[in-house]
Amino acid sequence: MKKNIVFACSSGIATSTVVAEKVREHCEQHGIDIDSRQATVGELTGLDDSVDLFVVTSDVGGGYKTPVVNALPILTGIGEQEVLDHIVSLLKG
Amino acid sequence: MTKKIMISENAVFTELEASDKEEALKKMSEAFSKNGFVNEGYYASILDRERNAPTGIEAYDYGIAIPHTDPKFVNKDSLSIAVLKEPVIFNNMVNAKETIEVKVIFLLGLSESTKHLNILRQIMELIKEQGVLKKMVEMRQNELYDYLQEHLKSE
Repeated sequence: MKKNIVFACSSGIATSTVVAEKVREHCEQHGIDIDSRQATVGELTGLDDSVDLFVVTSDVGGGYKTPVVNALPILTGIGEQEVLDHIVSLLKG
Repeated sequence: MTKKIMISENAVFTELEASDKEEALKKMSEAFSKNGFVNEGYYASILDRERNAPTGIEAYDYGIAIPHTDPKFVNKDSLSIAVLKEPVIFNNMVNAKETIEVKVIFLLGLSESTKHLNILRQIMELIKEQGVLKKMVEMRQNELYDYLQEHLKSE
């Protein structure tokens, strides 16, 4: 079954794209088929509870029903593998 | 053919003295405007963006920031980098309430979002390697300039 991910950052185009490429690649390697789109932080409220995961590189606040993963480690490399594995386990779980 | 990203020598700063991020970004923006690379709204828009969507990141060894803004303020693609003498405070990209002491600023002046992506990707790939930032911080101005010219391509 396809998993739906929304990648969000402040512009919806910059850091979220860099992160989306990495996550997509990692999910494919783990046999997870994903459908993804990118969004700005402001759009998340409207998308809440409609997808499997939010992967973010901006401050999005809290209180969402959809699980939120902070993807900054994917940009800095510090703890990158852990975050990628965490995303996979959330999608598989 | 791979084109090099435009980095002018006057936009590469080492031991930049600034008491806060506004002063650092002003000096960097001035290097752009002196070269005619950005229009007059650029600096204000950078500060505005930084207030609403901060770009401070805790990387290996040092805090960095990657300020960028709307392409409409940019005439010609360029990158400015500043290694600060003393760190300045930025807010954390993923937790705006948190502050980060930033030692290296990568200021992007790019006219198309696709170029933002490309250069952002390259900067992140570069600093993801442990030790690279430390090396950059210790470089002299001309060494840093050469290093960036060598490692960053515009496409």
